[in-house]
Amino acid sequence: MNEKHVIEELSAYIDGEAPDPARIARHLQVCESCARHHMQLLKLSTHLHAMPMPAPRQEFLTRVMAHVAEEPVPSAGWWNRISFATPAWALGMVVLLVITALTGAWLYGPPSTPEPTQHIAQETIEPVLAPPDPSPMEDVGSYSADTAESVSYDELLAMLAEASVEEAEMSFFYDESDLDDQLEALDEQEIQALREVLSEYLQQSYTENNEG
Amino acid sequence: MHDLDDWELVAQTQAGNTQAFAELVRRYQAPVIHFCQRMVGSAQEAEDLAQESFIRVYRHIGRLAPKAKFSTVLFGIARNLALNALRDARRQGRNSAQSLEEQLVEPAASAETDRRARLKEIESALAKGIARLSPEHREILLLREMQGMEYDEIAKALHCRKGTVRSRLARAREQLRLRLVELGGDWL
Ligand SMILES: [Zn+2]
Repeated sequence: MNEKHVIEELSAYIDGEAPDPARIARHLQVCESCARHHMQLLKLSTHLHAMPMPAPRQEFLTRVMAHVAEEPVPSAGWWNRISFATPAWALGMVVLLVITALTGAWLYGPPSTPEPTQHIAQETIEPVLAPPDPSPMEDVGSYSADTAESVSYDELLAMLAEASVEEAEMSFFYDESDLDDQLEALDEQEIQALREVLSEYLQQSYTENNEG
Repeated sequence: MHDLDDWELVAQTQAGNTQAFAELVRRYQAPVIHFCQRMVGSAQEAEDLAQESFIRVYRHIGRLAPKAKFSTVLFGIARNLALNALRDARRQGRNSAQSLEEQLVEPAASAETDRRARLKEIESALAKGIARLSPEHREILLLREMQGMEYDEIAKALHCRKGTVRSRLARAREQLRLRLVELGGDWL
């Protein structure tokens, strides 16, 4: 046998997940021991697939629904009005950029630019194009210094951290490699919702700080 | 209700329609209970775990978004609960592998045709073999071979990379093959 055996690749091969199935197929035609192994795995797979699945007892559904009836009606919190499935820190980037935009365009009266709405829109699109990089946090640092105490940065971070905990609980929704996709998945409506939520939040904390 | 897909049912549940959620339970109760039973052994415990899985999904339903298949989310929760249960059992000194094997039904008597009896025998051997695997190997085999999940979905449910799914599944199958040979698997 002048070729490498393929035993380790057979599992992926029978699932249609082997990177080079043609090479494996060729090897199986000329190598008896790999071919025997392949046949065993196929038999295993076929029999596992055919194992019977007992029907559940009738009471199961009744019991689950009785518990469901005791649960509070599902509702979406402020964070979810935006998009739960977006990783917290990615949303955080959007949040921070929106804040930066809002500071000039909304919080402190008419901005110097003639078209504030457009200005905000441009700012919020930006993170979609930006590579995953937490550095926008630094922008907020300088922003806080510029604008006194109008927004509690710690509070905002606490809110984001809280969102992260919930993300972690449901962590099977995404993995790191999805981040770019998810950033791009933020549509106009979500950005608008985010903007409204933040306006509310900023207005609240602005009022509180000015009263205090 | 039958013609709605899973995520349409989720949306209806989010809007307050509990009948939509009942349909989701109807759709997935058998495979989830079956998965849990193969994972932990006891039929009663499997029902409890499956019930808890559905309730947790309901609790979080306001936040679910169609980023994965609904079944992936459900099995992702079920396997977490099953692994926790196995961990607790191990801490309390209960031998889960043993209880898994004890609850196996013996092949039925000879009234059946030879072929059916033969199939029962293989089934029984497979169940024993699965029960002797590590929980990690057991769950990945069940998700792939019994639930028919794709590698991508398994990766999401187990929160690992697709490459890990490929290699772990290969090891799990090899372990099962060896156990069946041990059990005298001349049918292989
Ligand atoms: Zn070979």
